[in-house]
Parts: sequence; structure tokens; C-alpha cells
Amino acid sequence: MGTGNGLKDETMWLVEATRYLEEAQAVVDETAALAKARKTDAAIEKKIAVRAENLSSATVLKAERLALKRLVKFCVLAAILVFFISGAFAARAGFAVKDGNFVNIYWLLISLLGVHIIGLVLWAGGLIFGSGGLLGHWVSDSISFLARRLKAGPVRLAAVRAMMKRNMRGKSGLWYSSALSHSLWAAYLLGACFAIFLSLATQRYVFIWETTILSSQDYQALTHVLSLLPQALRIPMPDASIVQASEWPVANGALGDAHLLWSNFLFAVVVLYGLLPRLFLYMLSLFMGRVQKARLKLDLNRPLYARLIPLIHPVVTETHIVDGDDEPVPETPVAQAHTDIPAMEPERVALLGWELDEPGGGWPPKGFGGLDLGLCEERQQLNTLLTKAKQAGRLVVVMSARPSPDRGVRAVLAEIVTQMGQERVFVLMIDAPLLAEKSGDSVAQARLGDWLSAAYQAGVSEKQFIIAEFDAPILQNLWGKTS
Amino acid sequence: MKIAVVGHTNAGKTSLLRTLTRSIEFGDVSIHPATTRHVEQATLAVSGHDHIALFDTPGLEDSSGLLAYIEKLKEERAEDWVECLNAFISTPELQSEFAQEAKALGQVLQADVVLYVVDARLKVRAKYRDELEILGRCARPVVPVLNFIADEENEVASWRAQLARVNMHAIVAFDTVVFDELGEIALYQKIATLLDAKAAVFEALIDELKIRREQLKKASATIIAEMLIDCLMARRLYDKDDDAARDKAADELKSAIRQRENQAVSQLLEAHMFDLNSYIAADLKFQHGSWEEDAFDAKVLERFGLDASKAMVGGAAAGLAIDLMVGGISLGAAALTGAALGFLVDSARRYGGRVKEIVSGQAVLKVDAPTLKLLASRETALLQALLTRGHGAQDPITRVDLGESDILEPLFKTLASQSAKPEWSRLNGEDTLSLSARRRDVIQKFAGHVERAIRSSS
Repeated sequence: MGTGNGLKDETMWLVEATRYLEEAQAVVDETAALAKARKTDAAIEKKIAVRAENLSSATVLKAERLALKRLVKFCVLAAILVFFISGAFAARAGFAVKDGNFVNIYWLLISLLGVHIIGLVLWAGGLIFGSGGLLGHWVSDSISFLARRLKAGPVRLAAVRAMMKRNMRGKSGLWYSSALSHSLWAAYLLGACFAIFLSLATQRYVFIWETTILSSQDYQALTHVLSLLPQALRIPMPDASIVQASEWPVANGALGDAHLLWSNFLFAVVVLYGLLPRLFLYMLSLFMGRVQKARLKLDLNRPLYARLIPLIHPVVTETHIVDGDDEPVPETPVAQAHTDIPAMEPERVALLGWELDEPGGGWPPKGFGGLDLGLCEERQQLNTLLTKAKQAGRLVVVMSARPSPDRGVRAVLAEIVTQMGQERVFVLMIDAPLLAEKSGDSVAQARLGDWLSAAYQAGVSEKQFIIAEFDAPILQNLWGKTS
Repeated sequence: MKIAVVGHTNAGKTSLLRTLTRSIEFGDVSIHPATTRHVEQATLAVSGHDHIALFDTPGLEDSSGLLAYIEKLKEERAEDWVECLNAFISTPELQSEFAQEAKALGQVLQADVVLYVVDARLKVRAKYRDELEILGRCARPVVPVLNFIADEENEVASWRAQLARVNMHAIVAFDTVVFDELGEIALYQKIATLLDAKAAVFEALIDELKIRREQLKKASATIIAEMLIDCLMARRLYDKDDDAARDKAADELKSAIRQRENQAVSQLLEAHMFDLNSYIAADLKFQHGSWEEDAFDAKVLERFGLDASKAMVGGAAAGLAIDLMVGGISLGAAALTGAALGFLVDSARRYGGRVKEIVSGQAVLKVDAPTLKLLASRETALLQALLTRGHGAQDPITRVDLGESDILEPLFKTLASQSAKPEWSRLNGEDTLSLSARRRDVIQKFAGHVERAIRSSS
């Protein structure tokens, strides 16, 4: 039977059983099954099914399913047999004789059909008022309980749970449990018919009725109503005169073929109001159960699937390098902050801020009295500024540690060093404490290391690479003489 | 369908790809510049549509130098921009020191759309303007992506102004570290508006992402709810007068709870596609001495119609009472069936003979309410953190619980009002576990509270 998501009943069952097994035990990640599922070009449910089919647990679970199915079939057949025999005995008991071979026809009918009709009303009530499915839950819980108590082991337990989930729970469970109850009642009534037939075939009965509080008219009316359907099927039924003649103790059973008409009546009522409705409802329930089962979907909100879906249905199907690079990534040195700057010749100092915002304390920084070249971030201006800088003895380039040094900055530093001469260029890194505060000490350390290596590559020695804020007293040595 | 992801070095291109692909393993991410030195492709599968290929590229490091170089090249070769750029990317001899930029521009020129990633914490500088100039010359549709906007001190306004100046108006604010599901959708929607002919692919992708996100939220809430039901119903028995046995039972229960919490944590991390390095959990602190003890005294038994003082207490009947309290069975259904028979036999076997001693001498441990609240609070906090964590994030999650927040109050109330069902806990053993419909309903109720807490705080 095909299902809504195109998966067979057996497959869906296997998926559920696998889920129960994996939820009970540790999840087994069999890479081959995962890979196969991932390669399948289909919806998620199908992929999950492919994985379940390819897990090594699939074989044992499938074997368990067949065994379970056999067991269920056996149990249902046994129950049907038990109900058949019960029906037969109930009918025989109803033929309890009264002074010879007199049978109270209405008592017999009540004993055969009374519980059946109450059950039918309850069933219909459950269906209409939504409290249906109780039988299914009850069966499901009881069987799962029994399986646990009998120490069924994880595989069998998972198999039982999956079978119960698909067949005894929810809407499909409502209809399948209905089918079960209708089939058992049909067996019961069939057993009754069988016993009635045997009794009537082998013994001569006189059908009577009796009453203490009701009248003969009541029985005539009841018989008339019950006879309408059989009469429509052209089965001869007892008429009012026969009903009247059969009242105990007046009845003598000698009235023509009254015994044959009452036999017709008995059979017709049991079959038309008992057996046939149950058989019809059985087939209807079976059909509805199949329809509902086919509509069952996997609950993709289950935690197990939440971890499985990324593995078999990832957002990204594959990644690869399309344009490689073989250059090794250089090691980053560790930059140490200077605590001291040795006294330098008091000469004129030029100051340039590269790719810098105006600092909080203003530009140029307090205490600096040399040649201020200002803030700059454009390469075209650099040459003009460097021409000016050459008037000074040394050039201090101020840079922020917040961005990482790119090749553009390296090129700028290299250009500065080339034009000014190695000895005359100092790099002052600011903003390191700010970076450490925002991103942590390790990030700040690594960033300063990157800057140091950039400066070093451009030809600035470690001694000329200074990490300090503008308010650091040690900068006085760097600023040189005031002009 | 090709999308090139370009930007300055360290702007977070690889982080953006990690976040979009939900993969913490894609490429290399570091704080050092020029971490990505190759072009790497990631393929997004959209069911029923063409694949979308995303290309991570090396950073544009020296755009000012490159712009000057290409302008010179263009003059020398007397070509137009696109011809000149094509010659530049396809002829290694022309690339000078700009091989890395050539790789990036090569992807730009082939792409249907370009994502230009910006570190919005940094000021708009001349070098970034030069990048935009070069990108403009490539004549491909560009969607600027403002990264790191969760940082309070950002330059988003000046970036928007600058981008508008070069005619880039379809800007997306999307932090690769602090994930925002609406930001992701906005990103794909902007791409779709630029690529009208292929809009359907992105609409399908957006739908799929939404469905997955919903599933993920529900499944995560269920992970937490199942952990809670297991801990709530967990029971351990011990002899009432034996202190050593009590300590042993308490240790056992505590370690079972810890393991169960760890299991939930790894389930959450796996479902959200993070690894165990993404979360540094603080040790679960149990409230000292607040473990509740339910003694099996005569009063408790009386409620079950048993008289412990009389020797006539039947083995099976007392066992039944114990099982009822300690767990192991679902009497509701079972007592009505033949299954009850098997149960009675089983109980008699387990408890028979020593019944009186067991009845008068046993106590049971369970988890107290504060610990349960802490568990709920910690895992909900983790879930919140995971839902707002981009796969480009580097620092692990360290937040431990929701503190004073009262968004979990409805869940706490439900937890407190739940009647004891020891057979619902996996921690009491798999062979007593009942997966009844009632249990499932209660788990769904818990999960619903967790889900609402998550939604109310986002």
C-alpha cells in the first residue's frame, strides 16, 4: 500500500522502529548508511528511510517484524475463535428451555444482541465525541507494558513500540482498534448464528414470549418494527396474530407454521442487526485504518531527527578549494610593549597619523612640539608628506592596533622606510588597551604580533616599534626637542 | 548560480560563509589578516532548483595599490575597464604582487552576484573607497553586507552613506557572530531582487530555511523537555537507616542527572551544528541537603490500603504499592489486563519474603525543585544562545542560566504540579520505561513552555 510520502508501510515501520531503538540505545552512526542517505536526491523523509534501510539493525528489526506479525495473527485468530465459541455458548444458553421445548424469543434476542448494541452505541459515541481511540491506547499501553515486563530486549521492544505506534495510536489506531473490536463481535455473532442453526436444525422449539408489565400490543409493535427490514428482503415474518398467539402461557405452539416464522425472525434479527452491521463496520474500519496509516508522517520535530537532518540533508552539500595557494602562512612573532625608550638625540621629529581617527586628546598629541604632518589615509598624499618629513631628523608614524595590518599598510610602511631611511622611522602603535578591552588580551596580543611582523618586513626594527598610548610618559624621549 | 564573497582582509568573509552554511568547519578563520589565501566553494542545495555556489575569496588587501596599478595597466594597454580586468585576472605575469586580489576579482567577474563584506566597526577609509571603485568597475551586481553590527560602537551610518554614494542601496546588516534569522532572510531577499530571473531559487531557499528553523526550535524544546521529564521522575531507593546507602543513592542520582544534562547539551549542540568546543558548561551545582526523601512509612502505605504493621501484608500487594510509588509500572492500563498478572508474579518475586522489612525500611530520593529549575534555566539559556549564534563565531558560549528572568515561570509551575510517574523516566531504566500517550502529552506541554520562553525573549 503506497503512502502519502511514497514510502511503503514496511519502510515507515522500519524507520519508526529504528527511531525507538536509537532513542533507547546510543545512536549508531554508520557512515555507509549516512553517506547513502546523503547521496539520495529526495525529500528528508525518504533520506531518513534510506538510512534506516541501510543500517545493520535493519535486518534484525525486519525479522522481528515478521515474527511479531505472525504472533499478532495468531493472537487475533485465537481471539476470534474464543469469541466464536463464546457466541455459540451464549446462544445455547439463551435456548434455556421452559417446560418442554419452549424458548423465550425476546429474552434470547436480548442476551445475544443486548451487549452488542450497547457496545455499538459506545463506539459510535466515542467516534462522534472524540474520545475514540481509547481501546487503541489501552491495547498499545498494555502490550508495551507486557513486552517490558517480559524483558523483551531493546530490539523486540522497539519493534513492538513501532507496531503499536503505527497501528494502535492516533487516527489509524482509532480505526484499527475499531476493526479489531468489530471483527471480534462479528465472530461472536457468527458463533451465535452457528449455534442457533444447529439448535433449530436438531430440535423442535416452540417460540413464546411473556411479560409482567408490558402489553400484547407492545410486543406486536416491536415485532412489526423489527420485521420491516426482513420483509423488505421478502423473508416471511410472524404477523400480529402469531405474536398474539405466542404469548405464554396462552401459546400452545400449534398455530400453523409459527415455529418456522419465528425461526426466520430470530435469524433475520441476529444477522441483519448484528452480524452484517459488524462485518460492514469491520471492513469500513479496516479501510479507514489503512487510509489513516498511509497519511502518517514522520515527526521531524523529534530530537533524533534534528541531529540526523544536518548529517543527511545538510544546507551545504559540498565544499572544495577551487583556486589554491601554496604560499606558507608566515609565523606571527610575539610583540612586547616597550616600558622604556632610550634617550635619543634631541632632534626635530616629524609626526604622521596613518589611517587614524582624531584621538580623544586631539591632534597632535599633547607634549609633541615637532613637525606635525597631520592625519592621512590616501596614498597620493604620502609622497608630498614624506618630502616634508625629510626636513626632520626622524619620522614617527602613528597607527591603530584595531584593524589588522593589510598588505596596503605594509606597502605604505615600506615606502616610508625607503624614502626616509631605515634608522629614521619609528612606528607608534596605539589603541592596544582598547582592543584588549573589547576583544580580549589574546586577540590584542596576536594583533600586535601581526603589526610587528608587518613593520619588521618593511624594515622597521623591533627597537623602533613602540606600543604605547599618547599619555605615556616614555613618549617624551620619542617626541624629541620642541621647535 | 554563483555568488562571490569579497571584502577587505579580516572583514569576516569566511565567517559569513560559515554562518550561511551552518558549518563551523568551513575554511579557516583567525584574527590574523589574510587567513584565507585560496578560493573555496560551498554548494547550497535547494530541492527542485539549481544549486547555489558560494565562493569564499582571499581578502582585498592593497586596494589602493591595485587601483593605481590597474589604472596604469589600462592606460598602457588602451583597453576599457572590463577588458583590462579580464586580462589582469587571466595573465599571472600581469598580476605583479596582486595575485591574491586577482583570485578574488576572478570570482567577482564570473559571479551572478557579489557579496561585499564590511567590518562595520571600522571607519570608512580611503582604501575601502578604492575597493568599491574597483568593484564598481567589475560591473556585477553587489550586495554590501555589514558585518559585526552587534558591536555597539559601529560605523553603520557612515558606511550606508558611503555605499549610497556609489549607488549601492541594497545593503544588508548581518552579523556573522550574532545570528539573526530575519537578517539572513533579508540577505537572500536582497539578492533575489538584484537577480530577478533567479528569484524563485532564493524564495525556495528562504522557505526551506524557515521550515528547518521551525523544526530546529521545536526539536530543541523537545530535547530540553525530555531531559526535564527524565530528571523530574528519576528515583533512587535506599535503606532508611543506612547513611552510607543514602549517600551512595544520592551520588548515583546526581551522576545520572549530570549525565542526562550532558546528553541534552550534546544533542542541542549537534542539532544546531556546533561542536563541544562551542560551549563551556559550568558544573551543575546541586542545592545542598535539599534532596527530598519520601519514607515508605505506614501512612503512605495506608493510602494504598495496606497495613504494614501486620504480617498479613501479602508479598505481591506490598510490591504493588512499592512499584506504584517507586516506579516501574503503569498500573492504569496494566491492572485491567492479564498483564497485571505477570506484574504481580514479578513483584512477588522481587519483594516477596522481605516485604515487611522493605516496606518499613525503605526511603526514596528524587531531584528537588531548585535543581530542576536550574536544569531548565541552563538548557533554555543554552538554546537561546545557540539560536543567536552564527557559525562564524569563535568564542565559546559561557552563559550559564537565565538568572532572574521570569520567562520560565509557566514551565516551573507545570513542573511543580506534575504528579509522580517514575515509569516515565529513562533514568529509572529502559525496561520500566513507559512511552504512553500521556507521557508524550506532558513532554509536549513542557516543550511548549520552553518554546514560548525562547520566542518571548527573541
